[in-house]
Amino acid sequence: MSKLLRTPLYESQIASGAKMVDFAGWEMPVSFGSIIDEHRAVREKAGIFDISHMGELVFRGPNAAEKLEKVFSRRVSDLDIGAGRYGLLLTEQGTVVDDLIIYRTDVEEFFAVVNASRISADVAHIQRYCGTDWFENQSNSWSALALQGPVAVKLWESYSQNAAPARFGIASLALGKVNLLVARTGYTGEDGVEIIVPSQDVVDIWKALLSRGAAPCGLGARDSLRVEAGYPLYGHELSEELTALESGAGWAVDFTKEKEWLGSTALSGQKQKGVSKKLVYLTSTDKSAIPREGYKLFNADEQVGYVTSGVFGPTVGSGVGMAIVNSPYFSTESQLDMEVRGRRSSVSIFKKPLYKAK
Amino acid sequence: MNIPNDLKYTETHEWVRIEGDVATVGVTDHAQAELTDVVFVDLPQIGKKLKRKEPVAVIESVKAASDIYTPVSGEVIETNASVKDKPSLVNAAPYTEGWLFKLKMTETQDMQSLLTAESYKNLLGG
Repeated sequence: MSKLLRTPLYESQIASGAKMVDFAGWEMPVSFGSIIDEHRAVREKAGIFDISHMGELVFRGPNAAEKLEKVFSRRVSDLDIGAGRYGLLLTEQGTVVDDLIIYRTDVEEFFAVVNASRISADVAHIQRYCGTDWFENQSNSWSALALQGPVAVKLWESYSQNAAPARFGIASLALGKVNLLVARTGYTGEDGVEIIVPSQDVVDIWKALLSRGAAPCGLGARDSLRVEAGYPLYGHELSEELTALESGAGWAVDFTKEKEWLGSTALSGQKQKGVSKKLVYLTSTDKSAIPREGYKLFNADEQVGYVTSGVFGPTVGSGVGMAIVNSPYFSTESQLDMEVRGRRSSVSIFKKPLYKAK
Repeated sequence: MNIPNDLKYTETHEWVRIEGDVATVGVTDHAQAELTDVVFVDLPQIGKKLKRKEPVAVIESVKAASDIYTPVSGEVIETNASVKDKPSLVNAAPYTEGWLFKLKMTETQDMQSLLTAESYKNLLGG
């Protein structure tokens, strides 16, 4: 195995009691003691995550918007400077290369934050369909923090002495001598900001936000928070094996784009015909049967689906998960049986995520 | 990492305390840290006869389900009702209040296959 990469926060996190795990080739904290405490800190106050492993791509030029709209599932040409949009990089088959947020940072400049595990796949994909000379992979220059929770924005504003941007907006900011980007985004189901900062300056900001009361949080809480909120994770709900519509990400595909885009033929056809399997959300009240990735779902004796992610949801108070199920089981809220260690346990199927911030 | 000297251990991170022919079993401090927050413990039925290294219990944490293997063969004589009610005891006190089950041992030679505290410490890499 190749050596795991470390973010600049490694030492500080170890000092805060982090237990590290391998995530997408990075040595990242899974928890600083208790996943449940970290989860609650984010739902009730503010938690902070190191997301320095994530990738940053910068696109420039007079044709940047047009090129992006060829590979990205939504429009970007209509974005105002400082606005962003979540969407997908699609294959010709309508399956998903990555999910990402693209921000317009200038008239002819766009900034994208992508999954750590997909940086090289994204770069190769964009190069293949749109050429090489108009974008730059800046992932090695940037680190990033996600400050999340009902008081996260207030905490950030009092620290930075600047108003946070609107939801899905991004702003550049000079904090002392540090030039950083702040985006009003996150992956927890709570309000918050993501702070994209030159790698050499991230430790100071991490420490300052901890000292102002943000709880350090790891990947364990990041997973339980995103599963409750129904956010997909690449490699689980999203992949090159499932189309955007099957992954339940049809809402993030703009079928009204004028010019043809990668995946438009495949997805338009599938939209018309209807999908044969689709993402659903599920709960299990039986604590001995918490859904886990790979568990099979049954209707009577027929296997009709499989779990893609599952955790115990500390806020929901039961097992929660996501699954891909066959037609017609994704179109009604019903019960299915989940196979757990050789026995069956009933789970409830929902069409909407289980947690929404108040 | 806490590894009490008076207990025996397994490669699968269970501990066992042997008093006469009764063995008390739980998971180690290392195991509870790996499992993260325990939310449910599925314990074997009293009276059930278990064979060494068999998966006999399951610990569900926030992020994963893990099998627990019995370090010795025997018949289940008691299970810890407290961890049923308060699974977080496995995290908070893995060697004391967080014990899982007690067995009446049937195979005394099983004891020879258990690890000492020092061997277990070496297994974890010092």
